[in-house]
Amino acid sequence: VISVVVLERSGASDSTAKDLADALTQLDEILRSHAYDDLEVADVTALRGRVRRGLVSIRTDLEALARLDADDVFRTNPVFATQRYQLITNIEQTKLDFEFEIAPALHKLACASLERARMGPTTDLDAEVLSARSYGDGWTVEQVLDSAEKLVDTSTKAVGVISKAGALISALGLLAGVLPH
Amino acid sequence: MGPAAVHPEQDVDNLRFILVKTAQLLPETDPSSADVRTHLLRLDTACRCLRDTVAADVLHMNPMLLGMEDTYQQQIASVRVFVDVELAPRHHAQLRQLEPDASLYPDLLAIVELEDRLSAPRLATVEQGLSALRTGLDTPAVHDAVVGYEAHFRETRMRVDKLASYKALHDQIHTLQFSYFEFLENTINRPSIDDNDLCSLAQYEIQIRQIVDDSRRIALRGSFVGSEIDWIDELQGACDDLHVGVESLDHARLRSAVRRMNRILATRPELINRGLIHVARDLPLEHLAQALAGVRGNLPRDDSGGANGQQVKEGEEALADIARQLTSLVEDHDAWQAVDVELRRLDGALVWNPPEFEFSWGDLKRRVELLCGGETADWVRTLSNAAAGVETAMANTESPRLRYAFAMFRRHVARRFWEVDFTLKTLCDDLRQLDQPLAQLVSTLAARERAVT
Repeated sequence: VISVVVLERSGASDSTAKDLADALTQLDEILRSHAYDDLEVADVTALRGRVRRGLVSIRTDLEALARLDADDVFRTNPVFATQRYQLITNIEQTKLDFEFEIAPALHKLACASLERARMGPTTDLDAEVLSARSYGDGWTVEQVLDSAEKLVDTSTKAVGVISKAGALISALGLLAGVLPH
Repeated sequence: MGPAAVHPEQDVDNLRFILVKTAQLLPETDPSSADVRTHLLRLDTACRCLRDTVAADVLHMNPMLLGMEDTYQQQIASVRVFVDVELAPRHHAQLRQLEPDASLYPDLLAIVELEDRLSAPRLATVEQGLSALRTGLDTPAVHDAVVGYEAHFRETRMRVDKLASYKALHDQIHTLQFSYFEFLENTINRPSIDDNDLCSLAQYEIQIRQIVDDSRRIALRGSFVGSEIDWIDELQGACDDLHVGVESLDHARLRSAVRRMNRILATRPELINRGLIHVARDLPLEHLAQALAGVRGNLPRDDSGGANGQQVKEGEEALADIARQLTSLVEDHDAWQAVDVELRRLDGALVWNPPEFEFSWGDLKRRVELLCGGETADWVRTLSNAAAGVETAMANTESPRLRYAFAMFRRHVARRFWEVDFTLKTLCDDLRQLDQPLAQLVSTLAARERAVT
């Protein structure tokens, strides 16, 4: 008898961990850009530290898990079983850290950035940041802010870790281009 | 039309929702917050490991993986017990204290509603599975498949009934202990008893006689004999003592009533608990699940994959889930019961044999610590503080202080035992729901047999 949760939000699927690793990589890049360093309301340095730790942890655990799976294809080695359990616990812990620590901090950062950008948006749009997301006739600052706001709103409604992360990353990516320097 | 079937996957999903919402509502400084997150991690890890294990052993042939599957299922069951025993009562209490317009109210209400639905739908799912078998009996292939497992259905029904009787008998003694005895003992041991006390004692006598009557009915229905029910006569004798003692203000008779009840409480709960645990442990829920699986396996292809087959499959899964929860609760209950018996013995030793108390205290404390299992919940901290209080009083050789500290420790243990006991009782009460669909299935089979012969 099997009762397994396969929903994304339970963190049961292996791809969720890999997607989260990708999301943390993107976040690390965004936070490394220093676009948000001036925002005192969100402790960006501490947040980046958490993101880095999460990223290192999940990458290491995923690689170790992949090696274990390759060495013990038929899952008959009890020593590996214990190691596998520990690695999966670590991965799930990183997911929970993201859900309870990083995502709320990112949300706070996105809200603060949005507020700052609305109060005094930059006059020169960062073409490099926005080009990848451009469509039709191109972006205006107002459109960028509206889109970012919608994405922040989406992130609060998202149930899955990856959906939440994706929305926040997109919002922060957009806002990085319009924050006053 | 019955309630909608709930998939075990949905059930686990609900468990996660409860834990996530609780973690979000609790401030990080709350000590329970760490406990909730620990259980959330346990649930996520167990789900992920279970999925991997099942995927790696599609044929269910690898004994090591089968053992691991069981372990992960047990971990999920332990999270369910945590939600049932720890969170649900606390959430209910918090909700009662909140005004409906409080900001927390909607979130807490959603959590409480899910907690309430966690166990009931599983039984409804089992009922539906059994009903599906009964309604499918018109099909010869279904009939033949069900007949092969008739003995399983009869056996389960008999044992569910016995379990309910044991639990009911146990409840009678539990009520005697926690609702009446403490008050009686305190009142009768006072240097003087006033008119108000006498009125209360007379009232209690009537209520305890009700326990005697109810227990006799339960004993008759459950066909109990010997030491499992001889205490009922003893309790009746204690009531007679209480009656005479109150009527004639006879302290000796009043003390006799307390002594007789104390004798019952010192030995009989454990005896009945042993019977209850024996029946609960042997309750063939897993066999019943296997019977459902067997029937499903023998159904014609159309039925097996159709609505009936699906309902039977969901019934199997729900049964296996309930069986695991029952095992986990019974083990917890058993352990706290043993601690309760030891506490009672040490309570006597504290007065009559202090060296024995000192000798045994360390062992008792270790047993309680093991039951706390490194958790950080409120009750664990309270219990730990109470144990520290006992040790401080022992070090200072202050006898009255030690008696007080030990009484407090005993009270906190009793409180915890009561919570586990309450959850187990609820599950046992719920399990009685299985009686009706099983009875209908068995009687329909019997009617068909008679028609054929």
